[in-house]
Amino acid sequence: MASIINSISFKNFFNYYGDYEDTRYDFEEGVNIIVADNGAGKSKFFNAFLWLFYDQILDSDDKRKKAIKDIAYKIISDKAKNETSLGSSLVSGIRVEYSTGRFKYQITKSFTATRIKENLTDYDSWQIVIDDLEVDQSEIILHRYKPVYDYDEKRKIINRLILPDLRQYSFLQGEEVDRIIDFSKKSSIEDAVRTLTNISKYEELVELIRDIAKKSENDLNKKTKETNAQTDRLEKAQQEKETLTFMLKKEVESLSEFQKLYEDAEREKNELDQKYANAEKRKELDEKISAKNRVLKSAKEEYDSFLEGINNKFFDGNFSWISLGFENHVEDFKEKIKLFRQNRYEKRALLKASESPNDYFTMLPVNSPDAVSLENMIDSEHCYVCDRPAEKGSDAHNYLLKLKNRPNENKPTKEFVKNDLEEFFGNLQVNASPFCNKFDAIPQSVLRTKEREGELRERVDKLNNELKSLKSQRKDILIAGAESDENDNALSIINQFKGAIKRMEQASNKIERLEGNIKELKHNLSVTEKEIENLRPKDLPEGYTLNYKICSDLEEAIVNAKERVFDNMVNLLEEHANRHFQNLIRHNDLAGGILKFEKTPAGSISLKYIDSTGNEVHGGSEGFQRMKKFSVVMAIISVNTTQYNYPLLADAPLSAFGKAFTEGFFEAIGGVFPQSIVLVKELYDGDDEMKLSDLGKKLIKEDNIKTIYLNTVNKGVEQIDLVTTKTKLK
Amino acid sequence: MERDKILQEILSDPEIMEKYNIKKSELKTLKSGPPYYNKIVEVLSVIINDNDNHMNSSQIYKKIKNVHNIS
Repeated sequence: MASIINSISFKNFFNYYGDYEDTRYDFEEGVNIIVADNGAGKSKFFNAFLWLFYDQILDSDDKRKKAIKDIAYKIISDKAKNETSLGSSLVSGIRVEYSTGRFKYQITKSFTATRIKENLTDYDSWQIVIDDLEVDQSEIILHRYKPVYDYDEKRKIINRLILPDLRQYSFLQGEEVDRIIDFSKKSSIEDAVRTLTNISKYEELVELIRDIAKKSENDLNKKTKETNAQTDRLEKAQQEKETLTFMLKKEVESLSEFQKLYEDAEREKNELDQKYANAEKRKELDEKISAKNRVLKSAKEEYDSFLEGINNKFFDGNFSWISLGFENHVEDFKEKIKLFRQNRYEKRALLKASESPNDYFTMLPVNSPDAVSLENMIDSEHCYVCDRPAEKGSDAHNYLLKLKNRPNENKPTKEFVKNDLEEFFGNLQVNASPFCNKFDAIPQSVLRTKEREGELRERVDKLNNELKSLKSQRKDILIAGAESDENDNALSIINQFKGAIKRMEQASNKIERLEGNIKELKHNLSVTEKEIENLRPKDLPEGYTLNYKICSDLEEAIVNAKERVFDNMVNLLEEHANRHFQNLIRHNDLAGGILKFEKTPAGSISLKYIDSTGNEVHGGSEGFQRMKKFSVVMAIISVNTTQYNYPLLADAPLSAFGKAFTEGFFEAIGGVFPQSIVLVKELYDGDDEMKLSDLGKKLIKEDNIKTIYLNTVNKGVEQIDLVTTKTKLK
Repeated sequence: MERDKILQEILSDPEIMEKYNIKKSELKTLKSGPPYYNKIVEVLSVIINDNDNHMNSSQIYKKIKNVHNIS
């Protein structure tokens, strides 16, 4: 019976805060999906199984798997840590329930952490004690767990969930699919065939029968000698056979060496191929980064210059922003300046009138009375103009004296106000006039400028993001590149690449020659064996002859059977891989090609993708490449002569797949794995009310999808308040 | 049974079938236990069974010689 995971629950495990019953996920036979955005606990969920199977956790900081004890302080929910006072303890753990037909098991792994220092997140703030592994067993119909005490039995129960040999095909994270099936390594498909067939049994039998056949020949030869009827011709033929056998052995050894050379050269070529492709991609990205940097620099300059220009708009008569808010001041100014001028004129008139009343009140002609008349009036102390006395010392007499001295007086104009602002206000009016005409246009101008500033800033941000993305891609390529370093230039890579191809060609030619030699030697050996058979004395005991005949025939038959089993399995894998591939791409616009397994001269199996006319198709997206490999993984599972009895546990297997691939994936896995638990981001849509993409909503309605959970986190909170919340959508 | 399947697979070799008179229809009925169909089936059964019993080639060969009465 298949192993079916019934539930998984957590206790203060990363963001899964709370006790086991608060965080329990129930699953069914069939396809189960957990949808979550980045940071909502997908990888942490997957980590629970790493803990279960290997007592390890993948440290997201450096992407390395670490022993539980070393990373325990990072596993505990920060919220739980924060709620634990100094000297107090908490428990962090995982619990998995699974069933296999008759029995049901519950496995709990946990540790107890005691807070010994104030700082929450330090390694030495927590004293960790790993709790005993708890495994409970129950008959399904009884519903009552009983503990399992034997440690070996506990390990067996964990291993039964997914057998260790099969975990590589059934328990995978993201790009691990690429590593499972690496066709540059001979062992890759051989390992799969070995896992799927009893080929190792045939290998043991080949070893045995070779030894047994040799023994039977020795016995026969010994018996022949005992008969004293051995002829020179027989002896010569036997020597010939020994020579041929020796030569054959040497040629087979040589063939093995050249196959190894071919395999090494092929692997180097494949590695360089990747490296060269990476170098090309890096070069391409460097050019893009450089161009993007130039555009960004220019955009930043434009933005800076735009910001500087904003100041000018305050004082530039074309924009006149400075006058914004002064709209009512014009009328106010007009009123005030009118009043100012009126007052000013009045003051001036009064001053003038008081200083020179005669200027305003006499009708005398200018410069009259004349100087002589004035002299007479002064001397006679009488004003003949108004015919009034003007005694010496009186105001009238003094005024006559003043008039007499009139031509000699050159007094400066007396200021009639303390500060004459006439000119200032005049200038103000002149200078302000261009600003006053712009009042209506200013709000629009400010708005346009603001919009433009937004556009420019948005452009700079967009370019910055694009640049960041390009740099990130470049970084990824560097990581993906085999032992890549900056000193590897394209030329040396090409030279190494060509060298590897040349070695492959040389090895291939040699292999071809050696295979020809081996064939010929085998033929000669067969002829010699027949000759020996004919030359043997006829009166030999039949048992010896028959023994040798059967053993040597079986030797050949077992070797052939071993190769046949291998080839049959490869053919079966090819057939299944193609069936799965067609299912996976059924929603794509892609014309369905054919996956072809081909034996290389080194004996390894290469995967080729050919079109309907038999031409090999190169390239394709990363998602497409991964889909090919995933087809092979599914084939490895489905060719099992017995039903595959283990669940698929996959974290982000679709990260490089397109939408159409994703849809095909969920349809196809249902037909291969009895149960699948898949953690995905691709079905998440933050803007949707249900937080599900259109495909997610479509999948909810599919019969083969049994459960869908949505994981969310309370965004915008501190780490110590971060909690994953689950919602069961189906 | 896995041993029977291995036996049938090895003996399905056309040359062997012809040489030891194994009919296609009988191939699927061949067993790795007595009574044996013929000598080659018996010898191969000894090898397959005793390999599973972790016997080495010398021990197995002795048993094969017994099959042929030449020990």
